[in-house]
Amino acid sequence: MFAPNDDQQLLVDSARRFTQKHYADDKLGQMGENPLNTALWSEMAEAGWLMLPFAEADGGLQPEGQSGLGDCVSLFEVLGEGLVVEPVLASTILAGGLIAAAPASQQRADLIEGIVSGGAPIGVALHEPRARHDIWYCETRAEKSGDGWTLSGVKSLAHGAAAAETIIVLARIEGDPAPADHGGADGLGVFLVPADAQGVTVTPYRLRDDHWVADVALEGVRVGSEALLLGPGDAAEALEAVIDKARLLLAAEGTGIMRRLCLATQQYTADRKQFGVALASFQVLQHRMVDMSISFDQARSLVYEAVTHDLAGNQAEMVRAARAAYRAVSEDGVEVGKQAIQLHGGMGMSEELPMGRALRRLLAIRQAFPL
Amino acid sequence: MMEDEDLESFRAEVRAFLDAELPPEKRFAADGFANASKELTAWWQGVRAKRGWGAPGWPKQYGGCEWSLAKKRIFADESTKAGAPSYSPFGITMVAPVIYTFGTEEQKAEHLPHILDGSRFWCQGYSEPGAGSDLASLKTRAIRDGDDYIVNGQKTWTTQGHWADWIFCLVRTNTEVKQQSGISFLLIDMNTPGIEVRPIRTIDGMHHLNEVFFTDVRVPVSNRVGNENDGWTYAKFLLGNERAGIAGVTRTAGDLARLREWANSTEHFVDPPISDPKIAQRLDALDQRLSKLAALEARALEAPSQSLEAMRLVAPLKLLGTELSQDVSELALDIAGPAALPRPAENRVHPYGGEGEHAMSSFLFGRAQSIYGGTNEVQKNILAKMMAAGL
Repeated sequence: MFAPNDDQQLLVDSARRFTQKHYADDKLGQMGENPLNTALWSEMAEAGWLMLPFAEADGGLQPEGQSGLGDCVSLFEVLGEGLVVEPVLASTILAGGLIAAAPASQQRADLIEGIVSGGAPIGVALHEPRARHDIWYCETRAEKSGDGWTLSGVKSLAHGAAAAETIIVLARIEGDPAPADHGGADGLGVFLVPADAQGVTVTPYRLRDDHWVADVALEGVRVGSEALLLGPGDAAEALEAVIDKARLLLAAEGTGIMRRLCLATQQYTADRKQFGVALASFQVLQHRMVDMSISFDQARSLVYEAVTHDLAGNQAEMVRAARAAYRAVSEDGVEVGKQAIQLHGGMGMSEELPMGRALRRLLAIRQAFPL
Repeated sequence: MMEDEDLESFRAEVRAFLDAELPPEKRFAADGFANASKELTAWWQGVRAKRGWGAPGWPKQYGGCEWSLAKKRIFADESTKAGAPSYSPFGITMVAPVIYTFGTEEQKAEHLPHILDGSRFWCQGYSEPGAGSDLASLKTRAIRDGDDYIVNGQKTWTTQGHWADWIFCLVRTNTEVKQQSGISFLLIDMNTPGIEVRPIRTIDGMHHLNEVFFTDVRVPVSNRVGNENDGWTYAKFLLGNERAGIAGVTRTAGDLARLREWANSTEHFVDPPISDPKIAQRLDALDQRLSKLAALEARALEAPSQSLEAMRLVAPLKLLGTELSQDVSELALDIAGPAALPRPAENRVHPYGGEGEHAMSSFLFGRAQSIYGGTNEVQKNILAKMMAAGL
């Protein structure tokens, strides 16, 4: 089974030093005050974090034939532990994944170069209001007009879009969203839209986990033919693959959060005295913490299993394990978050400690791409 | 039969009262503590008091209703359905029964009318930084100085402490004896010099809780309820009295009914969430838990006050009621989906409506339910001790 190798362990150690410095407990309250902390974003690029998922040929880190999933998983565990709020997933995995899935072109090379070098993140507008998690329900339309396309509709909760110059928009080219099957995923296309194009209104806002998103309203937005990144047929398939990869990395992030919560709770109950003894001396609390720790180990095992299948070239098994890992974090991870607060008692309810922030992030992970 | 007709006419009376007195903009404006305001809470208490319905459980001689259990249920039930503001429990159901049971005539005359008409807010000074679950280890000290006590120490997790005009406090008046035997019950005016209230921001991003610091605060001995060093007895009496509302059956029933309606909505959702069998099953399971809880509560409330049976059922009501309420709010999150994620009151072109954000607020602040009033782990310890003693 996969375990971080020496290089990956170096990455973990340096990433951990970075988060301990910039995302220390007493600084967490200021995180997410702006859609992007550009200073930290540049440092992340310099550290090579934003190039991890890309092929060497595209300006990334990975030699031919390697996906870099093990590197990404190692990094995302630390991003979870550190409760990092910058849009690494949105820009490198979601947007980056869709861009990398498009046929090679100068445009593709430029976009990836922009991501890797720490330029403005690229947003992804998949969801729509009233559709809950169902990104395949897509009322936003793209109609052929002259050489290019005209886009109209409203996307919501677009990740990474709050600070983006370019937003990837999922729009319907064919089919009608009204019937029960919502017109099918095959009629969808993935488009590149400049955030400042005429007719685009980007409304950024912050989520409970201090990550920024935006609603993106498109009113007759005209884009060129090159804006169509992935057309009908290709778009759905690429998106499905990208989302499964995102699920895996969200699971890795979630296991990092679970690890932090387990350690913090162990420490707190060892220090905190009630009835003249440490809280950790009560068997019922010991068992609760054991359950938390087991949940963490199970979730991490599934994440590592997915990487193992990926290394062996078994994509179907990778996807199965990735989904199981995401589900483990969605269910057991949230449970760990709830228990961490319970075992911290009143202190767990206070924003002074990071327990609530961790639970809110786990809840956001659970609502991102549920199965 | 007579009684049933009586109850039905009472229900009609309550509905007519709510229709007449509660304008639409004040309905569902505050749900539990999540987004209550002091003004709204005080206003509604005043309106109820004017109608003679300010204190369902108090004896008539103090302005209460002395309603039967069934009538209290109907009133709470109709109020919930109408989206009436919730009352602040610290005065009406917590300190008032202690005052009219153990207080002096002067204390009754001084406090009960103001609690009843909503003109005076209270908060509870129990928990301390080092005394949470282990409440009896509290250290806030009251030292006798002539006709006053001089109080020094710190209370924490004080809900509505920033609203309160008065605080009822457990303080240590004797350090020489067993912990429980050296505690007194003081009523303290929050405007007394030496009191400082500092906000605690909670994980829902709101300000409900506070720290309250006491530095050489002079409190007249006449503000002590009952005997010196008997405070623990009154505190236990107060906890035993809480069983009426502790399970939150009416509120949770209202929440569940609204949740079911919401899960069926095609206005908020393209596909009603209830069409997902996992959501439907969870709703059914929560309904079943509510039925079990309601039956247990009915039995507990019929048991004579302060009886062994009543005491034995308080902890299960608290345990089950808080866990059920927490799980209802968690299902609300999953029904809302991503709409639960935005921070409240952010300005967006395409608002999701408050439901999702409200679900998240309830879920987050609701984590406190299994912590306050004695953690659920402590409740189980109490039960285990009672069982071991053969009770």
